[in-house]
Amino acid sequence: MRTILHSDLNNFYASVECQRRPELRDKPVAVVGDEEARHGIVLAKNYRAKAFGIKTGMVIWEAKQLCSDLVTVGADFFLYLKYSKKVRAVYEEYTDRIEPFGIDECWLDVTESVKLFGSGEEIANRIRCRVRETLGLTVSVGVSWNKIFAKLGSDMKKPDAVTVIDRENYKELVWPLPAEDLLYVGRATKRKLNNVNIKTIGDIARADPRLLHAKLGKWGNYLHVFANGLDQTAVARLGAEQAVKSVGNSLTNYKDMEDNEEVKILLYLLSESVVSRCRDMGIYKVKTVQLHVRDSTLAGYIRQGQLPLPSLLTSEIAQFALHLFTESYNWHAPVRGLGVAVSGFLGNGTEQLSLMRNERKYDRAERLEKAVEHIRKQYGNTKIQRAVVLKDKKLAGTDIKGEHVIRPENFFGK
Amino acid sequence: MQRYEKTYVDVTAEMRKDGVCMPRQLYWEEDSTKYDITSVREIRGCAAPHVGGVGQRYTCVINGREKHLYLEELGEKLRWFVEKRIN
Repeated sequence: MRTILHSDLNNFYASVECQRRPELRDKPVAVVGDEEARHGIVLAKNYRAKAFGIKTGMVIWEAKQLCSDLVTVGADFFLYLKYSKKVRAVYEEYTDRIEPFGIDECWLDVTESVKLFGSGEEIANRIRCRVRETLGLTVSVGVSWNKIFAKLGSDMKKPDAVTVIDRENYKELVWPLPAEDLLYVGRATKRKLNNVNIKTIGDIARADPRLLHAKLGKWGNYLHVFANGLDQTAVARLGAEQAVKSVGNSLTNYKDMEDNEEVKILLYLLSESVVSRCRDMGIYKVKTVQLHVRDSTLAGYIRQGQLPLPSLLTSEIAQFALHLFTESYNWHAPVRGLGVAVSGFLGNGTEQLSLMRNERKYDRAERLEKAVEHIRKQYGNTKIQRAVVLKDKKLAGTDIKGEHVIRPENFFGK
Repeated sequence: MQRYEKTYVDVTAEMRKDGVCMPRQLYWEEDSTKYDITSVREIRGCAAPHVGGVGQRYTCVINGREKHLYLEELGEKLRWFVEKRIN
C-alpha cells in the first residue's frame, strides 16, 4: 500500500508577510492585488482577518467594511516563490516524488521513505516541524494511501497539524463531507449530484456507478473511484519532465477588468509569456488556442479554437484569444481573471508552407519577437514592451513568465 | 515582553572551496568594534523567530558566548543580520 502526503501551506501569502514582518502577527492582515486601488482584491488573509468573515476574492472595500482595522499588504509573488522553493527543499529531504499543485500545495509519495524515516504520520510531523523551524510557516498535512484522501486530510485540521486517513477511519472522516469537497466537484457537478439526492462524498461512494456515469459521463466514474479511495494516480517524480501537451498561463488581475481594451492588455501579456515559454521548449508553432475566463462572481468558462494557420506569434495568438473572448463574453459582469493556453504543437519542419500567408512577413515578425525576447533575457522583462501593455503601468510591471507556477492542467496529467 | 530589532551587520567571511561561507569577524557599529568569531558550532536553515526573515542560522561563538548570526538569502543580495535586543 502506498503512503501519500498532501502538504498545504496555511494562508500562504499572508503567512509569509507575517513571518517577515513580525509587527503584523497579531493584526488582521490581507494580502491584496493592489494596495492603493479601491478595487484591489484580497488574495489571502490570516486567521485574524478570516475571523471577521473576510474571504479570498473579496474587493478591498468590502473587506474593510467587515474589519476597519484590516492591514492590507501588496502581494510580492517573487518573494512567495522563493519561500515556496525553500519549502520544497524541505520536502526533498524526505522523498524525490513531489508533485506541486500550485504554489502552496504538494503531494509527496513517501512509500519508499517509510523505512528510513518512520510511518507516514511521523514523516508528516517531521516535515511540519522542519517547515515551522526553517521558514516560520505552518503546513497542514494529510496522510493517506491515495492522493484524493491525502488532499482531503490536509484540509481537516489547520493550521500546523497532521490528519491521517486510513482504511479504518475513512468512512467516518471522509464520507460525511459534502460532495463539493471532492477534487473536481465544482458548482455545476454539485448541482447535478444534488438533483439525484447525492449530497456527501459517502453518497457518491455508495451510488451506482452507472447512475453517476449517466449523469456526469466519464467524470462520474472518476468521482466514484475517488470517493471509494480507489484512485491509483501516481505522484509525479521530482525532475521527471511531464509530457507537456499544452502550455498556459493565467492571472487573476489586480483589479476587475471593465472593457475589451483592458482584457486585451492582459491577453497580450499572457500570450507573450506563453509564446516565450513555448520557444524555450523548442516548440515551433501551435494549432490551438484556449481561453479561460473568470468573472467577478468567480463563475468561469473555457473557449477554444483552431488558429486559421499554425503560428507562434504573440500578436496572432493574442488577437485570436481576444476574438474568442469577444465572441463569447456579454459583459454581464466585470472580468477578474483570464488564462491563455496553447496546444497542438508542431516541431520545426513538420508543416507545409501555406499559400494563404505571407511567409516572409511571418518570418520578419518572428525575428522581431525573438529579438525583443533576447533583450528581455539580457536586461530584464520590463526593458522593452508593447505599446498596448503600457496603457496599464501596474500590469506592465508584472513578469508573468518569471512568476509562472506550474499548475497541472489536469489531475491525471493528461 | 523582550523586544528585538533586525540589525544588518558587516561581516568578514571566508568562502571555502566546499561552498560553505564561514564568518570570521563581525563589526558592531554601536561600539565600533570588530569581534572575532572564534568558532561556528552549527549552520542550519532557520527562520528568525523575533524579527522575521529566513536564512542560514550560524551559531557562532563570540567572546566565549553563543550568538546567532543569520545569512539572509532572499532577493539578489546576501546579507548578515542579528536579532538585536532592545531595552
